[in-house]
Amino acid sequence: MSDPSTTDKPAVDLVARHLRIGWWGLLVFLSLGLVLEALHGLKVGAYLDADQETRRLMWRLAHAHGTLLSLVHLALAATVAQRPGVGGALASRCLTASLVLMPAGFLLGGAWTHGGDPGLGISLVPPGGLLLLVAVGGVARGVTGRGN
Amino acid sequence: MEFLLVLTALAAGLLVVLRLRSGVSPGNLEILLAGACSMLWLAGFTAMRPRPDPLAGKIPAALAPAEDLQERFVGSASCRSCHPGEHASWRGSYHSSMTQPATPATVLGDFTVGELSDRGRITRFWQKDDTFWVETADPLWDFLSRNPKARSRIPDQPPRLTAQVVMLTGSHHLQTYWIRRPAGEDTWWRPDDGAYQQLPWVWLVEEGRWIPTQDSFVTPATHKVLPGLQWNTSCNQCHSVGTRPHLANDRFDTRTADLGIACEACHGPGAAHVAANRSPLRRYLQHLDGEAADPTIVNPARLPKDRSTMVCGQCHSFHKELDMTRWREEGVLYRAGDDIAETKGVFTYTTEPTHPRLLEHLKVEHDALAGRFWKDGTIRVAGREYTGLLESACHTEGEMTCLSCHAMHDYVSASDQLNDRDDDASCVRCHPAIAAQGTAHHHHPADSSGASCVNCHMPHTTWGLFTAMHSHRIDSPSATVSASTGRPNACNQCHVDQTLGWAADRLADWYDHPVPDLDADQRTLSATVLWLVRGDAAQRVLAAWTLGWPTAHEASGTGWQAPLLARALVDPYAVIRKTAAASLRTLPGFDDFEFDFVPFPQQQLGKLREAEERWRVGRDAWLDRRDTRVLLDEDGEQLADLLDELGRQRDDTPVRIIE
Repeated sequence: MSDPSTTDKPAVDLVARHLRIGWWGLLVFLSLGLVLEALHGLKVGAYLDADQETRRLMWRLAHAHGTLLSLVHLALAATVAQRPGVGGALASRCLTASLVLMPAGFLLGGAWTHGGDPGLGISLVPPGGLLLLVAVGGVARGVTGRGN
Repeated sequence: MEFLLVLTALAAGLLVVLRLRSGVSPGNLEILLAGACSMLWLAGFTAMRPRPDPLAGKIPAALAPAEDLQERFVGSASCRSCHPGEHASWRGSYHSSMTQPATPATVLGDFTVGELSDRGRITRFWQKDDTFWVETADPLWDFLSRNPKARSRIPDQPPRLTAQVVMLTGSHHLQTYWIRRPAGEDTWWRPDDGAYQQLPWVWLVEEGRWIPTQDSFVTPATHKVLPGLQWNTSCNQCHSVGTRPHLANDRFDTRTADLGIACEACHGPGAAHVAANRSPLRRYLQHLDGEAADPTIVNPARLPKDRSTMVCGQCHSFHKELDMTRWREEGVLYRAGDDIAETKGVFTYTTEPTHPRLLEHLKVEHDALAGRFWKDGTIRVAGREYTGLLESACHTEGEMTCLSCHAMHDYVSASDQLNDRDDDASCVRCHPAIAAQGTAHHHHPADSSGASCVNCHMPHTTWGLFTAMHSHRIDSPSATVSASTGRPNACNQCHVDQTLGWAADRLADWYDHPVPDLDADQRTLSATVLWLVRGDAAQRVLAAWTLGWPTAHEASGTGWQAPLLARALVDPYAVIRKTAAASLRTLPGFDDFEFDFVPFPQQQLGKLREAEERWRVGRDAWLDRRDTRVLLDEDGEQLADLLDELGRQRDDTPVRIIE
């Protein structure tokens, strides 16, 4: 394994950034999971009533996507640490944006619902998803391009 | 398709693993991953496509909707994805479970009971795996025996048959069961004419017992088995959606869009609505313009007053289809939002019927008006609330609709589906000035049951499902009406120990009502006691109920009613016997009184004596009235001679109150 601190300054910054984002993201979205569990424990009607099905789904998705995307940030950090040339600025920014857009879209979509339809916040999710694909595709291509 | 996709995905996964182990080139790996992604997208797309039969499993196969029904109706399952809250509240209501296929999850009746006998007829019950069976006298025989044309073509005695129970109606008071006569060439009538016949036994849910179907209604006692109903031509009209009887050449090809009183009963056929709202753009434009009505569906809350009430009135009224020929083919023609008068005759009370459809119906059911209405025109059969509203100024002159008090989705309790915990909230919204008068208006202590709007203006003069219910003809208590028509008034339903004269005097003092001419008994004896002892069956059953009503106990005590209710244990009407026993059990010393109301009165004399003896032993501790008004002397002895004399005056006019 190469040491990015001595060979590639941008890669070192990238690793540090995604480690920060990943771990803080985990803290935020695992906390959201605890909040959702508390809503269950306290039998909060605004979350558990039969007509809140859409909200429950959206907030669970926010928790799941936030947590998993945070892990993807850590995975990117680990990848860049091992392969300093992989994951350029574009992939980094796209992945970061998707961590904001997707959980936020699900959270906002669940905050205001229209029956079986989430609120307008859900419109943040598709661009977030696209940016995630761009990021993952870029990293995948970077890994593949090196022939490793 | 699903299976194929899973196999393909599995093969792709195995290929990836094998190629990786053997050293895969980067280009090939990308192709494989792209292929796997495509598979996932295809699977997702396939799963999201509308299912061809959303009703599968909910409706017995023989009743499944034909293509023309599916083009208009989608079934309640299709509403859930967009309206989960409304769907859940509907599922929580008893509307949803009004008619269901017979499954272990829906059948409450005990089919392991073995054999039951009533009026010389034996019915055997059993369960086989997840199916329910009976061996019984063919209900079609009783049904046809009413028809003079068929009578000559049927045997003298009902042939027996073995049949599977396929459907049931009811879920919380009682369940009635529907059998499909078996196929076969050697049956006496026709092997299978597509009719669903009612079983002659119903299951009482709360009591957990079977009773003969005909003993579940206020109906004159008879040793004959009365014909049950045929689902295809009766109950489906209101207990299912879009049902098409399709009767031709004495055979049914009945199909239904949805069982139970489902979404499209109140919102109209939903196919166009579902098709239009597959577009997310359309949906979000609707969401953003929250005030706009969606023209592809009916929302009763947005309809004008009359049309909104008609949606409930399509079932909750005394009505008949106008075009019976078309109805036999196409089913109920009314759709939510329509003018009900175009397709149904909705009848109020009249002594001189002129409506051709009503005249036609009276030929079949001579007492259709006499049984359903008090003589002042107030409907007295439960479940016909729209008919009551049509006689109420709150609706005809005001803005009151069913939704003023009830909610189909945001209700407090499934039992009455009121939209507010406070029964009087709806009244106060329109009559704040009267509410502000408080005691000056109602002359009862604030917060007492006498201060309740509904207790006085919607008295319990409607009967159904073994209980008295609030009248939905909203009016004011009137001793004159009680004296002239026999309809109990709110005053005497709470003050069950008081005379009609007492009520007339109070109403004259408080509201300047005229005092009617009353006979000596009406001036000296409790009105409720008179209704119980010498009234007709409708008055007797309501009086028996009010004597056990906790609100009446608060006003009138509990220590004197027992000997009167004991007499009602031998009433000729089974439902009155049942009601009297239930009220008796609310009194001190009778909470464990056992009584089976089904046997005929001659077989109940022992229970009458047991109840009277129990009262005699305990009365000194219980008596809170020693008053001739309630037929007791000052020593607490019953005025038996007077009671007997009043009993001989009993109005035995046959009364049928069939909800």
